[in-house]
This record gives sequence, C-alpha cells and structure tokens, in this order.
Amino acid sequence: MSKYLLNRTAQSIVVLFVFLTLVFVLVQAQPGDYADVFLQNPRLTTEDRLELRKSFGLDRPMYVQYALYVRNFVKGDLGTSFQHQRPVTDVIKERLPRTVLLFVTATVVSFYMGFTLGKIIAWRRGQFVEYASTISGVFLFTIFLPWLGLMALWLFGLELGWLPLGKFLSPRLWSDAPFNANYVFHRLLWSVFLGGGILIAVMFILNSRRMPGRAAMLFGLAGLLGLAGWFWWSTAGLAPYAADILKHMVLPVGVLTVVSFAGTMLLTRNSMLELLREDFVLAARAKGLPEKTIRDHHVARNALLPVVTSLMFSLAGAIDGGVITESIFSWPGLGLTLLESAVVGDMPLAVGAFVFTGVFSLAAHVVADVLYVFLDPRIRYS
Amino acid sequence: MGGRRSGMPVILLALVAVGALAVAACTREVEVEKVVQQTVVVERQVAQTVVVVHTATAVPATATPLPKPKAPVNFVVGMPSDITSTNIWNIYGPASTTWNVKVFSHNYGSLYRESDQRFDLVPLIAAGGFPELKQEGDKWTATVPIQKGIKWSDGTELTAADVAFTGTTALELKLPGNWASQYPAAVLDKVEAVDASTVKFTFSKKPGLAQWQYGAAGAAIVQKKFWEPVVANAKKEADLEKQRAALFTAKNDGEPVLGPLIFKKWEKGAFVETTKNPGYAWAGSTSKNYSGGGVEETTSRGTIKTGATTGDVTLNVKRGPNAESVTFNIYGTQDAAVLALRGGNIDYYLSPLGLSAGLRAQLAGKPGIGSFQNASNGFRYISFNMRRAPLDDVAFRQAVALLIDKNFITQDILQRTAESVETIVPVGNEFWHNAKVKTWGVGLTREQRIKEVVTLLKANGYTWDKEPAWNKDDRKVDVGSGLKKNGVAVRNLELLAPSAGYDPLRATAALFIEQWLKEVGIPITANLTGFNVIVDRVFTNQDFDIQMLGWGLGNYPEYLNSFFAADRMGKGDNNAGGYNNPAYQKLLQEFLAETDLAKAQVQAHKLQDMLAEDLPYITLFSVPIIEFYRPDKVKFPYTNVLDGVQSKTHSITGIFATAEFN
Repeated sequence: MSKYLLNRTAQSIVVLFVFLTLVFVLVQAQPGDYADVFLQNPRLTTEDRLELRKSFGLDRPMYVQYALYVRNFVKGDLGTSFQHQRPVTDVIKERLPRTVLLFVTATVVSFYMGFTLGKIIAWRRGQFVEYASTISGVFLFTIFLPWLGLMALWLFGLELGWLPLGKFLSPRLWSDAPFNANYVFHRLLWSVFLGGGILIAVMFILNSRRMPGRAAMLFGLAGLLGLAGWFWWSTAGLAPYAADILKHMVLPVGVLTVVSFAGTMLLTRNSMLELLREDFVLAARAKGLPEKTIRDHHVARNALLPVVTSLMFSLAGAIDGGVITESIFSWPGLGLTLLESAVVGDMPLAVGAFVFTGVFSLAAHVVADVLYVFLDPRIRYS
Repeated sequence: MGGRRSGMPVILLALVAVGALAVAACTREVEVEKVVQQTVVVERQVAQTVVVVHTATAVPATATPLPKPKAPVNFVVGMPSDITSTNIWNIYGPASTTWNVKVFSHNYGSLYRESDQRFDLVPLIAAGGFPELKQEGDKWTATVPIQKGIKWSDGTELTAADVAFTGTTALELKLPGNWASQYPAAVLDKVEAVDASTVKFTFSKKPGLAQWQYGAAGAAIVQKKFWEPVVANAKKEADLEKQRAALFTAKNDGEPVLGPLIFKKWEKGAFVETTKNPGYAWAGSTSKNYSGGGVEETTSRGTIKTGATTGDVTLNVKRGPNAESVTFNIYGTQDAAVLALRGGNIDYYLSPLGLSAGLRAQLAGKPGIGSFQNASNGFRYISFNMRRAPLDDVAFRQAVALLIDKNFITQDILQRTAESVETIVPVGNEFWHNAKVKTWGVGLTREQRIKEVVTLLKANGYTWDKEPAWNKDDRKVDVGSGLKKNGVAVRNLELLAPSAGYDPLRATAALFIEQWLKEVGIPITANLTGFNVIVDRVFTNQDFDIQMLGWGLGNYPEYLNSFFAADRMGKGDNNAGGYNNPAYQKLLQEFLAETDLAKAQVQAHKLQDMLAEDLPYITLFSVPIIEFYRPDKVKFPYTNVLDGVQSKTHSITGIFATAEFN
C-alpha cells in the first residue's frame, strides 16, 4: 500500500507539471495580454505602454516567463496578480473559503439527497415513486442553471422577499463588523469539519464495537456539539454574521442541489439494481432481515463505490467553484476569479488558480483510490 | 459484511480530510481592509474657457443651507465588478480599472476641474483662472496661487507643498499610466512650492492644452504629510521598478482625503463602504452655470467667477454631501443588479456600457424605477490599414463610406437603439464637435450610392470585369465582380469585427457592410471574432485590413493626436492604421501646442474636416447611455450630461457631493 501511494504521488507530481505547462501555454496562447487594458487610455504613449509591459514582465520571451514561473512555483511562489498587485496565493486564500463552503455544502447536500432517493427508488422499482422521481430528477437535471438561478432570485428574493438577492453577506450588517467575512468563513469551515470529524470518529468507534443504542448516542452527541457550537458562536459575537452568510447560501445551495441530485440518484439506483440480483441479498432475505436493513446496510453500502468515486471528483471540482453559479448569485469565489483573470490576461492569477485546482483534483484521485480499499476489502494494491 | 459496516464513516472521514485540506490551504486570515480616511485629486479634464476670476473676499459661509436629510441616508450604488486597490498611486497607474477610478477618484482634488454638466475648466483648488505661461530663459512656467483654507479630512490645510510633492513623485519615479499623462515628463520639468499657497510648474517647452490645462492642471493631488514617508521608504528600493512596486502596494489606511467621502471598509467581492467627510472643504458650496457661458463658484472661502457669468442661471448645484454613507455593492451579473434595483437593495446602478435591451425592458415602467438617457462620448467605427492596398487609397475609403448606410443600420437594423455618428468628436461634446464636416452618403438611396461609388472608383483607376449597376426592374444591385485597380485585381479583404456574443450591434452592422461592399464587387469577408483577437491583430501586430472596434472618449479631444499622429504609428500604439497625412500632422502639431482654447477649437474643427475627407476612420454609430435609479430615494441635480450621470462619479464635486435624498 505504501509503495502504491508513493508511486501514485510521484505520478501525480509528473501530471501536475504537465498540467502546469499546458495551462501556462494555453493562457499565454490567448491573443493579447494584460497590457492591452491600457489601450483604452489613448493618452498613453508607446513608451508609457512599453514601460507598463515591462513592469508586468510581459516584455520577456515566453520561455523565459515559463522558466521563471516554474522556478517560483517550486519555491511555493505563484507570483503576483497583475490586477490585484498582490500575491496570487493571497487572492486564492481570500476566495477559496467562500467557494469551499458553498460548493462543498451543495455537493454534500446534493449527494445525500441523491443517494437517499436513489436507494428508495431502486427499492420501489416499477412503482409510481420511481417514475416520478426519475422523470422529475432528469427534468431538473436538464434545466439551464442560469435560468433557474435567476428564477429563484426573482421568486424568493424579489417577489416573496424571503431570501437575499444574491451576494454572500448583507453590507449593512457587515459595515461595522470588526473583522472581515473570511474571518467568519474560516470559523464556519472549522466548525463544520471539526464537528463533523468528531461525529464521524465517534460513529466509527461505536460501529466497530457494535455498541447498542448507537443511534441515540450519536444523536445525543450531535445535540451536544450543536449546543456547544451555538454557545461558542454566540459568546464570540459571530452568530449574526454566520447566520447572515448561511442565509445567503440557501438559494445557491438549493439551486445547485435541485439541478444536480439526479445524477447521484440515478447512479445509486442503477448500482443498487445490479446488486439486488446478488446472492448475499437473497441470503439476507432468507435470514429474515427487514427490508430496510437489507436496503440500507447491505445493498446501499455495496452500491457506494461508484457513487463515492463520483462524489470525490465532484468535491475536487467544487474547489474551482462554478463560474455560472458564482456570477448569478454574486458569490465571488475561485470560479469567478478564474474567469476574470483569464479574460483580462492576468496570467499569474489564472495559472495559479488553475494549478491550485489541479493539485486538489490530483489529491482527490489519490484519496479516491485509497478509499476503494476501505469500501471494498476485496481490492488490494500491490 | 461486517467489514463493510465501517464504510460510511470512512467516506465521511475522507470528506473531512479533503475539507480540512481546503481549510488549511486558506487558513491565513486576510487582514481587515479598514481605513479611516482618504482623499485626493480630481478627474480628467475637458475643455473650455477660463476667462475671468473674481476673487473671493467676503465669505457667505452658508449662503444656501442645504435641507438636511431627516434620517441618516445610506446611498447604495450597484456596480458589476469589484475594485482591486485602494491605493491612488496604483489606481492611476497599473491598476487603472474603471471601478477603481469610479470608487476612489472623487476623493482627490486638482487645481482645476470640469464644471458640472458643461465641462468648462474652472478652478477647484486654484485661487483663480489659468495664469499666463511665462518664458524664463528656455523654460516656460505657470505659477498658480491656490485657495487658502482648504483642509484635508484630518484637519490639516492643503498647501502648495502637497501639489509639488505629488508632481515631483510622479516625475521622479516615472509613474506609468494616468500619472504619465497627468504629469507629462516629456514637457514638465518640475513642480515646486513657491510658498504655502503658490505652486510653480516649469516646462521644458511651451505646453499645449493637453499637457497643461488638461494635463498637470487637472492632475490628482495627494497629501504630502501622509505619503512622504511612504515614498521615502519606496525610494530605498534598488531600482525604479521596485520603487514603483513598493509605492503601488503600500497600505493607505487612514489616508486623509479632500473629497466628500472617506473610505471606511472594503469587503472584497462584496462591497466598498465610504462615509461622509465632515470636513469636506466644499460642503454647502454652490456652483452656478450661466447661459452666458460662465460659472460662478461660491464656497466658504469666497466666490470665484469664470467666464461670462451673465444671462440666466442654467444650473444651480448645491453641494452636501447629503448622504451619511455611500455603499458600492458588487453584483456578478446585470440580471442580479436589476433585481436588486427593483427590490430596492440598490438606489442607482453604475454601468458605463449601459444595460442590455432585455434588462431595459424589464425595468421600463416598473414602479419606483426611473431612468435617464444621454449621448455617449464614444463611437463604434471601422478603420483601415493604410499600409496596404487598396486601403491606402482615399478614393477607395470614400467609396466604402458611401456604401455604408448608417441611417439604415441605426434605424432599421438596430431598431433605433443607436445613433449615427459623422465625425470623430461626438455631437454631445459640443465645444469640440464640428457639425459641418463632410458627410458621405447621407440621405442617398441605394441606387444613388451605387452610381456615386461606381463613378468615384472609375475616376480613380478602378475597373470591373462586370460593372455593378442598379437594376431598376428588380430594384436591387446587379452585383459587380472582378474589381481591379490599374489593371491589378483587388485582393480579398478581411473585415474584423467582434462576434455577436460580445457586441451584437457591431456584429450585425459588419455583416451588412460586408454585403454592401460585395455588391459593388469589393471582395471582402467579415470575420466575426473575439475582441481580444481583434485588439491583438490590430494594435499589437497591425495585421489587419479593416477592423471594427469602438472608443470611449475623454472630453478634450487629445485623441485627434493619439489616434492619428504619425508618431503614434508604432506597434502597440493607437494609430494602428498608419494614417499619415503631412497636412494633418502639421495642423495637429499646432493644435497640440496651442494654449488658447478658442484657437484650439478652430484647429480641432479643421482637423475633423481633414479626417472626414481622408477617412482613416469611418465613424458608424454610438449607443446612448441609459441609466436606472430609484427616484423615490435619490435625486440628482442634473441628469442631462454627456456620457450620463455615471461620468460624474469621478469628480470631487460630482454626484456623491451633490445628490439629494428623500
């Protein structure tokens, strides 16, 4: 296993450099460069423009720019953004938490909803609920995301006034906040991952020891964690700000879930339908196990492999956000950053952001490979 | 099976691991961008007379007290993009984005400013009109007295030292971008403080309007006290490039300002908040425009009259600021911004390019939504690469101009969403616009156009294998073919134009132009492509035949130089077509050197006449700026202004100082 991991890591590094080179060349291959922005000011002379190009390093040949970039990359320096005039890593650090919170939440919610529905419709194949879920799921899957996003904004934001009209916070509330939004985003993420981590670890322990009353204990622990979280957020004075961010997340998460849960649902359904013919299902039934137990504990768990693979890649993809979603909901995350930097020719930021997402994708692939071993003990890497 | 029971927790743990990775990657918190104060200079200039200055003595401190708003007002302005910097050196340098300038330029004053609505040049910090340029040896100087009693937001008084410091820094560090055009090193030697209230500009040669009145006299001024240590620190860097980088990235938290608003907070990607500057030096002041052409400025420091303050008062602007705060809200799309405007989340939407037709229709007639429409200071055009045949032939270009039916394009194809433009200086720029330039094909029928083009081309050595002609029976053109110039076939030409995704108006117009040219046998293909592709081919590589782009313009027509000067023909510069008419160049030099506005106006008109004859550009149309706001919340002192109200966000005495609120 360790040898396999070493090999996979080495492969990933090679792939990363190929990816980096491709991204660099593709971004450079775009017509024009960032200095073209200054063509809009006709009062600038040729000398002024040359000076500006020089200041951005755009006067150097491409191979020199590439060599410098790779050298800096190895040292952990992704360069300085032309637009923002600050390190690319700073810009990524600023945008990433917003994207992670929104898209990971949407992906997990969508996965959970899709997986649950997939289980149900596989078990009720041929019944009305299967047809209704499948048809509506596929219908929603094909809806044009920008249209649905705008409709949701119009209905829930403008007409009903239940939810905010886009953005990730309310300026009025945040105007006098003694911290910035990322301060709260970071704590939200830590809370989610810490609380989730504790819950999962406890669940793992309880499951492995087959302790009775596991569900009640888990619910109790979840309640305690929730209470502790609420106490901490309230006493830290962050609760209204966190609530504001969460309120702004409802629409985008809802829209993303609505358009994407069908993929997981159908994948789970198909995977489960194949497993239903297996002998172990017959054996479970022969033992007289309840249908719900067979479905949830036997079939659904075996059906997880392709679903989890899909989930891992979705999560890796979530890191770069969604340009459309972020635009429609005025949610300035990494996706919008990627788009804007590529459009204006902010090469360091564009390449940096792409490479950053590339690293996450590669890591997700390795994690997915490792997960297989746990999900299916028959799999061995040697 | 037992082993698989732990599957779900493992997955979830993996999720946590991935999440933790992401969190770890972004753990370092970004510092809160919170600043207390800011300020600075004023905008760009435009044109007009500065005649008389009647100095201020008596100070009618609160001549016309403004009605105070009943409750603290937060003016919320929507905009489609975030700012990228709060540092004015950066903003007027490499970070010169539209949004940086719109949010911050009104913080900074200049010696002179553009008057409200009319764009006359009037004193702002200067104590009077433009001083006469004096020759001292081989140098030229301008000595400008400045008003006493103008204070920065930190309470210190603005002095000539601030002006001198700003100019000297721009010159010594050779700051690029707008600084280079505001403080033109080619002619400006130095800026020095003679005493606390007198500043002296020394030029290596007699500066023209672009360099003095519309250059240094309108340049931004920063506070010496705040910036001097920063600049000194930057100068410790090894070379100029690093020195500039240090200056551009310097923190400016708490920078004192002159403008009506003080920067408070920038929540990146979400909003920029500013609050009222209680020490705004123009608070309670008024500015009156007279039908006689003059402007009367009354502040707590006195009254200054510029030009003929006779006749009716055509505009009376009272300054506040009347809002306690101004918030710039950022929206990812115009659709989201329109919903926010309808929902009352924003009071005014800043959109220099205007809204799309669909969104305009959504807003039209909606309760609580008001709009105003203004001519834009810009145009869409086609230009020729005059280094290549037959585009170097003026007769050919005139033939193309004759064939383009702008009226048909604007009225029928574009459904009156655009207005035809006949000269380089748009009609809205009244002072510089020449309404009498030669026009091509205006009012002609298709038949007349074909006949005139055939006659014109034949007279200049063109022949056809099959000559085009108007077919009266079918009421269409019998298409010509085999066009030759002096017996040599005219090669296939390419018309570069933006694709419909970028600009449907230009894409549509390009297809019609292609068709009209083909009808008379001019072999041409419209290539609708990406904007960046066109820019790269036209300006960077000068590899094009005919291109269709657009310009947004300043009020002073310096572009008569930058678009058409012979010394601006190099790759990467604006005269990409290589226009080089010696007569034009001679007159252009006179125009650039002219310091008398009236004479410059005459010269500008003549230059437009020459361009209308030579046609390096064929101006096509402009699209009016339509802006939307909430009249139940905000009232602008005037809405009829070239380029729309959004063009008045830049000024220290602009809409953020003058808008009133219900």
